Order: sequence, then C-alpha cells, then structure tokens
Amino acid sequence: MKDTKYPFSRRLLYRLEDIWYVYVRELQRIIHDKGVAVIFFVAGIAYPLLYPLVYNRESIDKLPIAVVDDSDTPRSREYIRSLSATREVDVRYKCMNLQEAAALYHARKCHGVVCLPADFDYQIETVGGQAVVSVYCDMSSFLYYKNLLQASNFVMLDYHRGIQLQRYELSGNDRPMAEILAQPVQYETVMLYNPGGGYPSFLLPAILVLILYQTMFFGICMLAGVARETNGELYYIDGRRYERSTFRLVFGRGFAYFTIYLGLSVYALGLVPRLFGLPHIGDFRDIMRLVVPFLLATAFFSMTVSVFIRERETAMVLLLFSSVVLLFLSGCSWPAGNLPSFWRHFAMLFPSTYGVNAYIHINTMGATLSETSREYAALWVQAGVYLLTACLGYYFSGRIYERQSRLFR
Amino acid sequence: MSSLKAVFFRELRQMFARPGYPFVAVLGMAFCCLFFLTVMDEGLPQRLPVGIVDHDGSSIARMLKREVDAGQSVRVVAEYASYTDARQAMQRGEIYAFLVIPENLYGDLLSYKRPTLTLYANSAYTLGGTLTYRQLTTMANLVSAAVQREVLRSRGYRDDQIMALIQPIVLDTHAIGNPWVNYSVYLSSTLLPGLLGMIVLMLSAFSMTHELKMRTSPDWLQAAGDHVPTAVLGKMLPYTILFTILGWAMNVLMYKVMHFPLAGSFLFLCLATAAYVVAMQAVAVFVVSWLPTPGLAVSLCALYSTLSLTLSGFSYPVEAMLSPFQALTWLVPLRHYYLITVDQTLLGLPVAKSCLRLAILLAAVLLPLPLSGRLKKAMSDPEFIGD
Repeated sequence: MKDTKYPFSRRLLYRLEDIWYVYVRELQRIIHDKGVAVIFFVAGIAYPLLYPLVYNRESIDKLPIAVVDDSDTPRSREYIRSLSATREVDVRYKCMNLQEAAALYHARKCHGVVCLPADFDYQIETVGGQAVVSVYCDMSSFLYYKNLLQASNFVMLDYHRGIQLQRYELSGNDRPMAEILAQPVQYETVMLYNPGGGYPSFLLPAILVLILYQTMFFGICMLAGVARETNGELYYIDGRRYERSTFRLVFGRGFAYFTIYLGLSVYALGLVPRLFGLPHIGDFRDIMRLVVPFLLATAFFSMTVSVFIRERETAMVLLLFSSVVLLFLSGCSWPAGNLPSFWRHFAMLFPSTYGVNAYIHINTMGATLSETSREYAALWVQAGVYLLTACLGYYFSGRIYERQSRLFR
Repeated sequence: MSSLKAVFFRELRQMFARPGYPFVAVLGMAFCCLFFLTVMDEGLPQRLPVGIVDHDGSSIARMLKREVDAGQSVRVVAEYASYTDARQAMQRGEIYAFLVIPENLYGDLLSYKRPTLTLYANSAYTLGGTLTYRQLTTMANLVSAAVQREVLRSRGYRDDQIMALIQPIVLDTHAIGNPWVNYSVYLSSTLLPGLLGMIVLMLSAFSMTHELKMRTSPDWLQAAGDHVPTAVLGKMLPYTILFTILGWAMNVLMYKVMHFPLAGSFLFLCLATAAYVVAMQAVAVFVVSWLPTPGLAVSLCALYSTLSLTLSGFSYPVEAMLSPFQALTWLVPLRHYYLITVDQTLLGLPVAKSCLRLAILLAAVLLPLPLSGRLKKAMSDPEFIGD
C-alpha cells in the first residue's frame, strides 16, 4: 500500500482518522435515510412504549364463567360464592343445564363452565363420600385456562380443609388434633421475581431486548442494501474506490450502530421498565456492562448477514418472521432445556438468545453479572467471532464486487 | 378482462425475473412450519429441572425427593446445601423451582408438630415456573395425604373412606378442544397463519413499491389500461394464488398430518385462509397507497405485521388490553382469522356462526379503494413522494 513510507504512528493516526470518517459518514446515512430512520428511531423508541401499553394489565381478573348448579343446596351456593370471590374468575351466569351454559360459551360470553353435581351436598354432608365437580376450560387462550384452573383448585383445596376438619372432629378428635390430621405437613409457596405471575412482567423484558436486536438487524441490512443499490459504497471509504479498507469500514460502521444503540438501550432496558413498573431489581451498571457485548455481537452479526443483502427491502421482506422464531429460541416462552437439541444448538448462533436470558437474569431476577457469566461470556465470544466473519464477508464480497465492476468496464 | 390478464402475466414474468423473493418467501414459510411443528414436540414441557435443599436428611426426606423426581413434569437435577446456593442456581437459569425441606422434618412429623415445607418457583419464566410450581404444590399436598392415610389406616378406616376424607371434592377438568393441553396445538394454529400473513403482507407491499422504486409503475399502469383497481388486482393475484395454496398446505400439515384437533369444517377453514390472505394483501395495498414511498411503506408494513401478532389476542386476551388497542384489534385480519380458527377447530360451531368474521375479512378489500386516486398519482409520476 502506498502509505507504508510513513512511520507506524502516523499510519495509525491515518487509520483512526479513516475510522472516524466512516463513523460520521454512517451516522449521516442513517439520519438521512427515511426508511432506516423509521426503523432505528421510530421503532426503536415507539415500540418499547407500545408493547407495555398493549400488554397493559398483569393478569386478567374476573374472567366471566358460567355455573350449572344441579345440587342447588346452601352448600353448593356457598361453593359458587367462594368461586366468584376469587380474583381470577367471576360467576356471571347461573344456568339451568349444561346446554344453556354451552350456548353462552359458544357465544364467547363466558370462558369456562363449572358444573356441580346433583349429589354434591349429599356426598359431602350425608354419606361422607366424594363429590365430583366438573370444570370446562376455554382453551382458546392459555390465560383463560390458567385462571379457571387456579380458581377452582384454590376453592377446592380450601373446601378440603373445612370438610376434613369437620369430619375429623365428628370422629372424636379435638380441634388441634383435627387440624394436625387435616394437614400434617404444611407448606408455603413463594413466587420469586414476578410474584403476581403476570404476563407482561414475564414477556416484556424479552420483547424489549428483541426490539433492540431486530431493529438493529433490519436497519443494518437496509443500509447495506442501499449501499449495494447505489454503488459499491459498501466496500469503500468514499472517494477512495481502489483501496482495501475492510477493518476501517467494519469498525467505523460497527461503532456508529453501537453508539446509537447504546442510547436506545439505556432507554429501552433502563428507563422503560421503570416507567411501566415492570420488574427492575437488577443493578443498572450490570445491565450496561451486559449491553456492550450484546450490541457489538448484534452489530457484527448483522453486518455479516448484510453482505448477502442485495436491495434495501430484502431483509425485511424475507426475514421479518425471524422475530417470532428468535423469541421462541430464547427459551423465555417454551423452556430452553425442553427445546429439541437441534434447535437448542441453532439458538446458540444468535446473540438474541443470550441477550434475552442475561437481561432477564439481571433485570428481572436480580442476578449479578457474575451470576449470569455463561451468557455474558457467550456474547463476547459471539462478538469476536462475528467481527471476524463480518471482516471476511466484507473482504471477499468486496473482491467479487471489484471483479464484476472490472468486467463491466 | 384482457388488461387484467396482461397485468397478471406481467407480474408472473417479474416474479420469475426476480425468483429470489417468492422462492425465499416460500422457503421461509416452510421453515416456520418445520420450526413450530417440531419445536414443541413434547406438547407440554416434561421433566423440567428443579432443585432440593435438604436440611433434614432423614429417610422420609429422601423419599420425598424420590417422589418429586418421579413426577412427570419435573426432575430433580441437583441438591443444594443452602437456600442461597439454590437461589443462585435459579438466577443462572439452571432450575425453575426448588423445595426446601426443614430441619428435623421426620421428628416433627412423628410428634405432630406440623413441619413446613417451602417451595420457591421462578415466575420470570412463566411456563417453566408455573408447571414446576404446580407439580411441587401437588407433591406437598400428597405428602399430607400420605401421612393422613397412614394414620387413618392405623385407626382401622377402609381405603374408600380414607380417600373420601383425604379428597372430599374431586375436580374433573375438561380442556375443551385440546384435552392434552398441548402447547403446540394452541400456539402453532395461530402463530403459523400469523407468519403466513406477515410474509404475504411484506411480499405484496414490496412487489408494488418495487415498481415505484424502479420507475416502472407507468408501464404497470399502462398495462392495466390506466385503471388502478385492475392494475392492483392483476399484480396481487399471483401472490394470492401462491399463498393461498401455501396456506392450505399449512392447514393440511396441521390438521391432517399432525392431527391437530378439528371439531368443525376443514373446508370452511381453508376458505377463511384464502380470505385472510386477501385481507392481508388489502392492508398492503392500503399502506402503499397511503405512503407511496418505497422505504417507508415497507418499514410501516413490518411494524404493522409485527404488532398484529400481539393484537390478535391469542396469547394475551384482548379484554386485558387498553381500550384504544381493543378497538384497533378490529383492524387486524389475524384477529378475525384466529376467532374463526377457534370456532372451527376447538368449538366445532356450525359455519354460519363464523360467516360474519369471514365477511369482515373479505370487506378489507374495500379498505384501499378510497385511496386509489392517490395511488394512481404515485404510479403515473414516479417522482411523486408521498407526504
């Protein structure tokens, strides 16, 4: 190369200047491209607000259900009242028979039916037998199912205690002994990190990380597509068409994306959870330490993929579905350990998998960075590997581009 | 009619000139089917990892451990010396729940002191947390039941009397339409159509904006005899056919090959799939007519289709959303398609009950009509940039 005649320090300075130039140039391109700006800024800022607004309530309270009371005794009515008193369900309809309840259910007026048998009171009171309560759950959304199941279980267990106490006392035990017999082993349950078991508190942290990941990915692919469409700008520093400059380009651009997303991360991962009262018991400094390898890995990963992008819309048109796939691969919905082993290994390719889990560990579960060191280390490894692949991709596809443009000339 | 044919064949030629896009889109859909139909192959997660902190170490504590491990939905992966160790393992994501067995459990049990077991479950991961929590509470109840049974047997009760004492009320739970509580059935039956719609929307919008970008839109308009609806119809039709067939293949895969529950009419479901594809295309036409700037329209379609997965309300019920979003769900074709799916697969309602939703899907075609003047301006003047 032509600048070998300069001393090393001078050459380094030139290189840094070039990186700075690429960096500034890339920031300008981002701001001046409407489509990219929409993805980076509108989506990057609005989506972290939009999702918490849509997932507004932690849980559905007072799910409407119908009840068929074939027993119609004081005890059965009391049972229905207890059911209606739970947070989860509300007995809105009392039906004469199952057909009537089914009609309401089919019209989506209720999301479940509870049926008390004709011998409800007789079994419990008179013969000391078992009463079978039928519960029909709406499976169209698992939150409906969960609500009705929880409420029925809770009321059932509560009744067990009462009935058992009564029966033990009747058979000649005193009250303390009856209590011991009814429950010889007690238990306490503690739901950690998301005490209400709320849906938004569990899903939104993962979505926030994925918003950062996907907007960055599509933005970078779009920028690469634009550069490809207009000229060979992807592979050259402006005005220096015939100089190899892979490292300077990858670094300069990578840091431009990194800078923008550092700001967006503070906003989406730090501010938004506090704004909407989502769990945020982690140390914010740990989150920022985590964000560094996550953003670098994401940027270099996206730059690697972007080498194959021909037009600005390519990635978004063809790969948009990946958002849902990545959400699944992260294991925040379906447990990661229960993914088939092929998909579990496939998931390791994507920085989002580790980013989502590490963020949940720190932000939601209050882990320190060292307690989520597996994910943290994996992100650094990915950052390194994808930096390499990005450079290789730029270098080789740049060469192909050169050969083609020489051919054209 | 002849101009419609002209546009139709013109689009077919373009599809084959840029074979990458339709080909990769079909491949993408195939990937999604493969992914979602294999990723949850257990139906409901089995053998989830849990831990035990045993402060007792007696034979009954060890029995308890074995009982927990024998359950279908959990397995004991580790024993921890203290609560802190177990908590850290949970924070590392190694276990979803753990059980703390108190000191002197056996002694307290024998002397009727009612020892207390403590269960901790991680609800930051809802499915794993809930399932392990449920299994461990069941175990804790069973421990009490087992002790009761021994005491009652020693007092000479018969086994049927004992059962009635231990469990005076029995719940007979019916999960309607999905008796196995299969997670894949629940998620895939809506997610896959959702992704199909996403791909249709993006590809349809792209095929239109590409004309604007390449300045070929005047030619496109001319082929349609200067009539915008013909131009749009002819352009969309190849994609309608392609993706309807793809949607039907998806239905066959889910309901005929994988045997997802299907209580209602398969034919009607397929009809709904076609209507849904058309509705998504109508949305694409609407967005492009409204914002005929190539980059912007495609970005906006992307934002819309991502959000529509959420707004369909299949995972998070619509009634829990803020009221403005509840109203917005009417503008989401996936919402209507999801409700038709529920009618036909889970409930098995007569098709007449789902016709209203089908009509709404088809009515989406009217959506872009008022904007056809704007689209015409953009098509005939490629320099036109929507404001």
